[in-house]
Amino acid sequence: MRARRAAGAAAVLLAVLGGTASAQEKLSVTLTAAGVFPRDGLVRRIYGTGLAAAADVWLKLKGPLGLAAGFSRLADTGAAASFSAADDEVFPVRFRRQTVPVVLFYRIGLGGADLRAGAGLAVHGFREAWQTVDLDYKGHGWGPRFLLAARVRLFDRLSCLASVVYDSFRAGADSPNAGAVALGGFQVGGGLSWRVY
Amino acid sequence: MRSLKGPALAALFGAAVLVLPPKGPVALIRVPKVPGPVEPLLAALGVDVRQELGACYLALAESGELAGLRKAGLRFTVLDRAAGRREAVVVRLDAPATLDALRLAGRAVVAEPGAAVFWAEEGSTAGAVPNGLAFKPLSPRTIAFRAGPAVSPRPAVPAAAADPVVEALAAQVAAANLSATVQDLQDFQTRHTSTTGCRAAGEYLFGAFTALGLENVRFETFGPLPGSRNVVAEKTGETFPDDLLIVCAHYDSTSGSYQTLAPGADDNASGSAAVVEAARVLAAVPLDFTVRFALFSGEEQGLHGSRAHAAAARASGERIVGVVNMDMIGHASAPPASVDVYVNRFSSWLGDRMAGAAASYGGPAANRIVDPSMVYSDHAPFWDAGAAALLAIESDFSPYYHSVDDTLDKLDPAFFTGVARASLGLLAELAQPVREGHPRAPAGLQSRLAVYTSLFNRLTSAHLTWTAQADAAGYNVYRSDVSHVGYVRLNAAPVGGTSFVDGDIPGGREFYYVVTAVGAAGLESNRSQETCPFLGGAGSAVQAPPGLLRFLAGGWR
Repeated sequence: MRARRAAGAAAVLLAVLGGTASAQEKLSVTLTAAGVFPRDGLVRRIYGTGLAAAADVWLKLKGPLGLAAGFSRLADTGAAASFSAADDEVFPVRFRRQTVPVVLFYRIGLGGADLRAGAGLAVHGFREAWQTVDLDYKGHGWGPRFLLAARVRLFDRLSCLASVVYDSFRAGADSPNAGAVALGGFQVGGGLSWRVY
Repeated sequence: MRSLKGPALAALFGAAVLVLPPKGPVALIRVPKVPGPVEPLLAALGVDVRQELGACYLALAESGELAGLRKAGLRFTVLDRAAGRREAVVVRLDAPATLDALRLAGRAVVAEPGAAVFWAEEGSTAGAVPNGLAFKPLSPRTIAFRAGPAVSPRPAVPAAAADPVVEALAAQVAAANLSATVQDLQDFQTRHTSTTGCRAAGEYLFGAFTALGLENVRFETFGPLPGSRNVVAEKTGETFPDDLLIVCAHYDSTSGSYQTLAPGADDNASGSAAVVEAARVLAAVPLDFTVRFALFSGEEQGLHGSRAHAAAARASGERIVGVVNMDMIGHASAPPASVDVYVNRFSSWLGDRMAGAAASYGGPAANRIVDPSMVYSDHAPFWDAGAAALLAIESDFSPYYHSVDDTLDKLDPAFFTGVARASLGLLAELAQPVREGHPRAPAGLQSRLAVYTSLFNRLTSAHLTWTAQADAAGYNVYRSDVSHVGYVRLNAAPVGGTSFVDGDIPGGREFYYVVTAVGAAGLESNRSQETCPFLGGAGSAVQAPPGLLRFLAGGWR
């Protein structure tokens, strides 16, 4: 009961602090960190869930529409998968992915908070390297991106936000494994937003 | 109380009718070898393939399976919608009139240029084939179909240097002995299967094997030809007794007057004599591998003897390293004479080795021909059983084929002796005479494939283990991307232990391994059995899992 009261009080406080300033917001910058939950089973087997960092610019367009664009980076490590329990060697592998997304979103204001839902495109470049063996693969691709974010104003220019992003793209058909891998999946994270104008 | 048994059974039956897929008639289909992964698809779909030819596969499939093939995008044509349990044969179309003759005798459909599928609507199909035509019944069970990517016939591998020990053995093949055996067989007048002449010829060959002191000399009887018998003998290998090399020929004959006169000197007393001569030369030589000398009957009626033998070998899990079948090896009318060596895709190494043996041990030029359509002799049932096998046959086909004039005087002794020497040379190279003063070949070679994969790369390594040899100071490990040919040593200095890891194997190829022992004086042993961890083949301890095969074939996702 005590925890519920505390949460309720915090919500009221955020709403009061938030006011309606976000409605006039023209441009903001966000920094987020997100847990990455890959769609492909092999990706999950080798790398598990990952952590991505992102920086975006949110630009107000006409009415409730806006545009978000930015850059994100995923860095992850894992171990190459083997087919047999008898194979007990460990080959560490590293995966890096850079993404440049452009998303058109629709904003719904809720007092000191707002919800944003959008869709767009993301261009990805990636590299997978084995740490102890000279095996390396670089690739790139693009695919649709879907976004759902909730933002709550903390102070005059500072807000916190939570977001869910879904990327869908496959790449690597020309790799030595000769099979494209679904590199997309969900990213669930949160961060801070700074209103510039 | 009223019993619920009846209604319950009725309900079960009704449910089964609803749930179980309907079974339609079994059709005989032709699946062309088009570019693309035909073989992996056939294997993955579990298609009942009964015959491989040069341009197509012949298979049996029910209506549900046909739908599966269509769904998989595999092209096929239905040859016989109601094949069922009907026997069908492949017949060689060697003349334009052959197809007409077949269509008078039953149903015939051209499967590919030079080959027709034939079946009789009623009665025995084999019995309905017009006399004198070469034919092979479709395998009575699914052929040992090898999954994996299609293998294109590759260029022949250059011959290795002659082995002096083998050279000395090949030189013992005597033209006089060959001619004498042919004469003896010819003197039975006819060896047409089930005739008294054929039975007497069988007794003669049994006696020849027995007199040489071979082991396990026996008759093998088989249906459906009453009284017909194969004559088989063995020389057990001292190091690898369970690994077999088979040298074979058919001793039955035929002609237009087969009940009374079918001398069959070239077809196939010549091949039979070469087998007997190989047995004579090798009888007293200690060998690493077991050699089986097999003389088949019933060949002219549809490869009955060899089909029975190969089926029994497959059923009992015999490990056949290779089969050398000689059929018509005595005729050459004009120099330079040559011998054709027919192999299928997975026996091409045997053709390479035969060509090398011919060059090294006094044989004529050998033309290696990769042609799975050449199924009209006793090697073909071994292909069906998944064994490597070759057919050696004169390039200059005898004009006396299946005639009463096929007699010893029509043979070319020098050519005949040359082919027999080449065959014996190949056999001896593969069986490996035990060498005095050298360590014994390592036994128990096993291999395991370790595959590690990331998203876009994979690392493949082969892990080999073998049994320690008492007289070995170390071991050499050899690898080749072709079975039994072109091994390259992997280790710079002899390996001290009894294991070896070949790390980071290049992708897209299969590799084969053998191990030799090195003695204290530096002398090297014969080779061990070959192992291929990719295939789980002879000597391999672990069968590659289906998922791994799909992965290696590039079909991971």
